[in-house]
Amino acid sequence: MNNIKYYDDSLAYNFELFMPAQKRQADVISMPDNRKKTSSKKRAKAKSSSPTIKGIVVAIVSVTLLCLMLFLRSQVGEKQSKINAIEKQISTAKSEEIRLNVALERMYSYQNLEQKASSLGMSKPGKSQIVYVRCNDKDKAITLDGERFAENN
Amino acid sequence: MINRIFIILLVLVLVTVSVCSLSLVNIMIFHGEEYQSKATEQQLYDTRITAERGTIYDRNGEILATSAPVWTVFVTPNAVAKIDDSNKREQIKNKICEGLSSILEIEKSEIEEKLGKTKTYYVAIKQKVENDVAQKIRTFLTDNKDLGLSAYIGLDQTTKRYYTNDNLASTVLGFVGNDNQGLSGIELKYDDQLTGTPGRIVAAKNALGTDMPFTYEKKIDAKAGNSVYLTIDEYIQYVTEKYLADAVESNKVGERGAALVMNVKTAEILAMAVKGDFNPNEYLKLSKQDQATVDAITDTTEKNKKLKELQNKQWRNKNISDPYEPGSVFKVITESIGIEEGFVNLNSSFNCTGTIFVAGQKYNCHKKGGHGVQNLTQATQNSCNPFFISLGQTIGVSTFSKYFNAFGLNEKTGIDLPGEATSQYHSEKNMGPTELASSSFGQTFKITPIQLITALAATVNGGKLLSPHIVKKIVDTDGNVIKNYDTTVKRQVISKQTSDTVCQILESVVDGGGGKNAYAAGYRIGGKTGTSQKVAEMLASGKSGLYVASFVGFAPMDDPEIAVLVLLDEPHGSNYYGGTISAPVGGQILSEVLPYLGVEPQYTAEQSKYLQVSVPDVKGKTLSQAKSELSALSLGYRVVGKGDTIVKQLPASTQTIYKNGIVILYTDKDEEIQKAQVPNLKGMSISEVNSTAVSAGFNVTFKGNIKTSSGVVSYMQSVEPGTELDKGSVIEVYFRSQETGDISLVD
Repeated sequence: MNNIKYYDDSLAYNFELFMPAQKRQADVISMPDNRKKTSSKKRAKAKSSSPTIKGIVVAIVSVTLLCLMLFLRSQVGEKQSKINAIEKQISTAKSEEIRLNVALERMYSYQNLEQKASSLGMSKPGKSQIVYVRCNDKDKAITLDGERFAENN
Repeated sequence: MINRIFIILLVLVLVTVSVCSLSLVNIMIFHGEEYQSKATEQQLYDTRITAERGTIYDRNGEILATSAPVWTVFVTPNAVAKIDDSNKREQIKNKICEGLSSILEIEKSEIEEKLGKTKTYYVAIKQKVENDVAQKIRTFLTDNKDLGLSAYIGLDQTTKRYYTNDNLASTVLGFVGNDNQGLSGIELKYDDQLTGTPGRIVAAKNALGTDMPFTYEKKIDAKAGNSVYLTIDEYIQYVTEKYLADAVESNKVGERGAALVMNVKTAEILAMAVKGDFNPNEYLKLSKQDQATVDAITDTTEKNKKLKELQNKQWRNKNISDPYEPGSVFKVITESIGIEEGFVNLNSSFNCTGTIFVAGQKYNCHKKGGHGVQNLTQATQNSCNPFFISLGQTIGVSTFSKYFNAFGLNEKTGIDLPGEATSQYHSEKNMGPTELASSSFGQTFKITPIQLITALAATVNGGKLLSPHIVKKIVDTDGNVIKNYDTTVKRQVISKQTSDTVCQILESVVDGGGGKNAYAAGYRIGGKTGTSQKVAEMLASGKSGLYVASFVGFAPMDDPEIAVLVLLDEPHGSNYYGGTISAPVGGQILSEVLPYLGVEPQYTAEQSKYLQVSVPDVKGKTLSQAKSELSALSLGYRVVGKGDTIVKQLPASTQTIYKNGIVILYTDKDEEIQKAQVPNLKGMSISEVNSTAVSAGFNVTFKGNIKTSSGVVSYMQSVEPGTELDKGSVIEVYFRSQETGDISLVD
């Protein structure tokens, strides 16, 4: 019902709606062309060459960036791989270090030391065998007796 | 018409949108987590990085347990089965079996069987192999690169727990399972501290299901566990275990032995030993004797049952998990109550006739005919049962129960170890005169060794009941102290004055009473012995002669610092008295621990008689000079060689030996060191030991009960008889008295 327009009371329908659409000239504003014919020639030439150069530049930049990205990624991968290998080496070395330390601890356990000493006929030191020393200097140990002697002199 | 179509379409759209929305709600809200996890599983590759377990140290920073990376060797049977070429498949299988069999020392058939599980992607061949073996596997894979064996054999990193001293403190440390989780001891109690936080590697998977390592990967490093420092001293633990093990073996102890060393001022446990124990590095392995028992059983079910029973037994920490009847050692508590409440003092006297009746029940003294009239000190020295029964009756049920609880014997001590048992005792309302009588001398109730030593520490430290503890501090990976465990005073149980009196009495027990075998020259030691009957066990089993021989010792008695408790459960040797078999162990431990802790020995004139002399340096001197120097020190000598100058001497200078000892002097450079077999020096008097040793060419030092030369016999020597040793070497010989008198008899 919306297409019924009571354009004129005498007409039952608006037949314009069924007519082919016409260009509405009055709505188009024509602008004066002030550009010179020579510049339009150049522009035409530029128009035809600039997309190619731009395309090439963009392609080169893109390829370069892509290569750079791939290179960097491969570098990251390589470094990561090296890190992993070093981490494995560290882990292996650490394992070996602890294993050797444990072996050393066992070798120097009180039980082993005592057994070895006993088999060599050694006995625990008595009070007379204990000598107290001062180690104030880096590589010098002075017995208490020695110090007293020095003081006395 | 159009409108109708529009409405229908609208309805359809609305229905469709609603269905989709509801479906989305169902997926996103009700099953969101499920789908999220499925998607994660499908798209991500998640690897767990095991955190390094924290280290357990002794109080001085010596490592007792530590962890290190090790590897699990695995194969991928599914990948092997997918090899199209059957010849190549067989070749690879053979190579894997041969290679792994020789490197891992596993039967080839076992590896073949594992490779036969063709639907499986991962089968472990050997777990926790160390780096040397892992390296051999790596070399094997490199050598067989052409066969691409690395696609079928792999190494998974994990960690292994190392207990550096094998059996040392094993029941304290506990052990960890295959997944490094603590299963007993400190490992269990402090599992949350030691475990650390596992790390992860999360990587994206591509369409083929293989991971894309460096593209989409996130690594969260594992955080190592904290380290635990114990109050245990490795050396004191070693000394305690050494002497306890000797005692358990020589006295044929059936139900294991236990020993505790505690600092009475701080309640720090310096040593906690159980024999027989186990090696936590091989915690499933039984002792030879136990294994033989298991092997003798033919029925599989019974065999497995016995195996589990014996494994559980060796893992149990007897010091905290097995309550026992303390016997005469408990008399120290009864005595403390009596003194504190004013029922008895040093001048009190009591006539022991050999028996005492309480509510019609007869109690015997271990000395037939009785001890006669004796004061408090003498009654304690004699461990007189009627005296303590009488004292108990005077104290009364109410006061006795009040102090029993005050000494913490009705509750767990709260020591930081798992599996502490509760005591079994007569409550106040269930305690009649007979229960009080037997409780007064330490029978018919059960307490744990840790409860007993904690209570007894209070009797000598000024009367303070402290909380025993075995962990000193917890430290993180950067060395920062996270938690310190300090001394906690629970309550003052008895006065300082009472405590001082108890110290005085206990010193007299070692000086001249039943505890004299705990004597250590130069040190003031106090203590009390005990031989308790295992009444319930005897009634249940119908066996007789089941005893617990125990001793508690304190030193130095002028200001007690160290307490030692030794108990031997069911000794079946020639003697079962605490005073004879447990007290020497206590004395041996104290004689080594005290000098180690810097307590200087103070010798009396009597003690000096048995003191050793320091061997002078006679090397380079003429024979006559050497002879005169040695003679001046009452030392004998034997010359080997025909020269005139001493080129070698044994024992070496500064070594200490018995005054009448012998020095072997070598006068020829090329003369070989003379050797001889160590003689049997057990079961002899001091003079016999000396003459036997010297005539064999050896020197001796005397240990143990050598306060008086009469009535003591040697029972142990540092070098076993028959051992070949350089002449002039020094052998330590231990003495003890055979007198007894500390048994708690319950009729």
